[in-house]
Amino acid sequence: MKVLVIGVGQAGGKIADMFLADDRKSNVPHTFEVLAVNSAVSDLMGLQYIPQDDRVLIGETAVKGHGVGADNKKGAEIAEDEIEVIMNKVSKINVSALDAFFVVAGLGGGTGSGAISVIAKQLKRVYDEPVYSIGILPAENEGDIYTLNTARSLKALLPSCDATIIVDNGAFLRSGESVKEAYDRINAEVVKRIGILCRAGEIRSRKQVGEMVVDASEVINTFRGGNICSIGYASEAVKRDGFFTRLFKKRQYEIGKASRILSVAKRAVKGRLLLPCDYKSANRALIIVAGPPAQLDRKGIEKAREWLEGTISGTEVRGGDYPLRTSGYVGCVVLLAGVTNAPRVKYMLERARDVQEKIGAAPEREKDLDSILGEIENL
Amino acid sequence: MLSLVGIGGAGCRIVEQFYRKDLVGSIIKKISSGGETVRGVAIDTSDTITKLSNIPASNMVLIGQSRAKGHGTGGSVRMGRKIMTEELELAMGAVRKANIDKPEMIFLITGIGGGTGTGGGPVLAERIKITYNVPLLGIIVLPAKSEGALYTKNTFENFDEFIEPLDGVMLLDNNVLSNRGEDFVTCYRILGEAIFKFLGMVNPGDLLRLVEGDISTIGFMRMKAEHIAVKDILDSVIRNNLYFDLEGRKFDKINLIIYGNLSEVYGQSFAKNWVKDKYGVEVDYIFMEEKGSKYLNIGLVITGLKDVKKGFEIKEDKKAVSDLDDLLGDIKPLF
Repeated sequence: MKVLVIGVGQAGGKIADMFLADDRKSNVPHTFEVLAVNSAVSDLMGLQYIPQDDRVLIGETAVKGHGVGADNKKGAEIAEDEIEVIMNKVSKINVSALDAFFVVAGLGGGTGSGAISVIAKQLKRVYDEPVYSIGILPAENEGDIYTLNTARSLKALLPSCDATIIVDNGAFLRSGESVKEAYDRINAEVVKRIGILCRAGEIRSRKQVGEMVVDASEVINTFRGGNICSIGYASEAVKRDGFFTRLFKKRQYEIGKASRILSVAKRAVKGRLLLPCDYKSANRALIIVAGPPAQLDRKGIEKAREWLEGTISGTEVRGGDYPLRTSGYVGCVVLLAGVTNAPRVKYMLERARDVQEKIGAAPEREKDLDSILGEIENL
Repeated sequence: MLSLVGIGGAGCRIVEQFYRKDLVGSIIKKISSGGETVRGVAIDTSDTITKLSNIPASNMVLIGQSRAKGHGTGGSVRMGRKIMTEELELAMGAVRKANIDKPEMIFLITGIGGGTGTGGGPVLAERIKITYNVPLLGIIVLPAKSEGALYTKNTFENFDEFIEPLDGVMLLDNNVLSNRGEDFVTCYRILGEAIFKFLGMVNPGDLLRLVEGDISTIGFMRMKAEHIAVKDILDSVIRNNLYFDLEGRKFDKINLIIYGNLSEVYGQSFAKNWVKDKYGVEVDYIFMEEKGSKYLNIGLVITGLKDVKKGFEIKEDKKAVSDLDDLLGDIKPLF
């Protein structure tokens, strides 16, 4: 599945950058094409891999390349003004070969938070290919303004794209970690999951063909009308036989392959979701088991899918394998689409509503100040 | 003369079996009149059909390239139907090119449960009926349980519509092989081989008479001609080479077709009684002597299958209600 990733804002740009680095190292390069959009020059300059041509600076006249300072309304306005600049860059990429668009942004900030829905909407209007967004929620302690930004951005985003993958920053925080480390780790998690999801159907040689290939259509059908989506991933290291072991090994029955896949799948769904949520409320799901071909036990994959079928609220569960000949892990990616019960999103929206009320009450105090100022004699 | 049209992943892979070089040999040449070979057409939305190297390239069509981009339909019946409706002429073009003169009958081969075959099959079937006006027999592979609830659901919802334009249906159930522990690739190979050999041996006129207007299943076995009772032959074919579970199912009749050295076969009336006791139905025999043959080719056609959809019932969706929409309504819009 060939996709174009558009990273908007600081967080989005970083993830897009990482997508590119990951893609060019992988065994099926050019699965991901990447663009970065920002209103701050410094953020664009901080990117490592994306070529200068693919970095788009918007709102130069309005904010002089300094960013919008967490004002997402301004971010949206700028994006709307200069949408043609962005679309022009998109059209330079061979769109007919693409299967989908991914628009990535942090939802709490300014540029990304405001522009992501504007860009998604325009992509949907112009192209037939589905548009998915990856929205990153700010951590709980980042502050009220970010919470409100997130809520308003989410409200605009959900109806303007086909599905939204929500990533909860808070779910991955570890103590004693620097900001950079933490963000890098979260971004890497996102890139790894989406990477497996999109590469599973990209077959460039006969050796890679799985028995149950997860084609782009299966991914698209799972996402369709997905609203809020979450992706889980878990892996387990497997021992790889060395050259001599392989040469002299006795052929014997290996047990535990099927149960390993099932346990990894369960771990991916229950504890390792990008957005912690009630997985039982999902409407559709897709399960991809990746690893060395010898470890991909068919019974295990089937059992994992059957288990998922029995637990989620819908019936549509697609699944398949993704053979990686040189991998030392058995990993499992589970995409849950149409999640309806996400406590984290609910809490965030509730808080945003409270913040909104607080802001509505604020001007009265200012009026006090104004009236006192009026009594002071002019200079 | 065998004229085949395979739709979707399973259908194309089974048609591929007919073109396997090591198999196309004596049987086909002997049976099909005038020594003509098979005419198979493969139609799919997934570009994996280009990996099927034995079917002539001119007989393969990739449809829906603009809509599915060669990725298949991902189990969406609606999409399969839409693509086939839009590009019906493209698909028919390949069928027409392969069948320049009017064929005796056409076999439509597909697996039901996925998107391309399930959705596109009936559309193409109707068109073939109008164009050629010859009997159109369907060979349908039912999905295994392990293929997932989506396939089961698609089968349950679309089966009746699917068989509607067909003049006769032969069913094979993937569950039987899947339960034996075969993987998917082997499943299609075994099913394909069984269909290939069965169609190769049976007289088309006989077959049409047996399966017309009916739902049936077929089995094939080849064995050394040694002193053997008909009852043992029947028992063995039903147990090992029939890809449909007869357990607890009702059907009308068992038809046993034996070609080969008949001097070694005995006990026909005993077998009749045995079947009557066991299944409560009649047996019909079609025998054809082939002098000096060392083998017996045995075909089995079980006709009049009832409640085929048993076991494919749909699990109801548990509807989860969301309160996020209300909360989102309270938030002021961004623009």
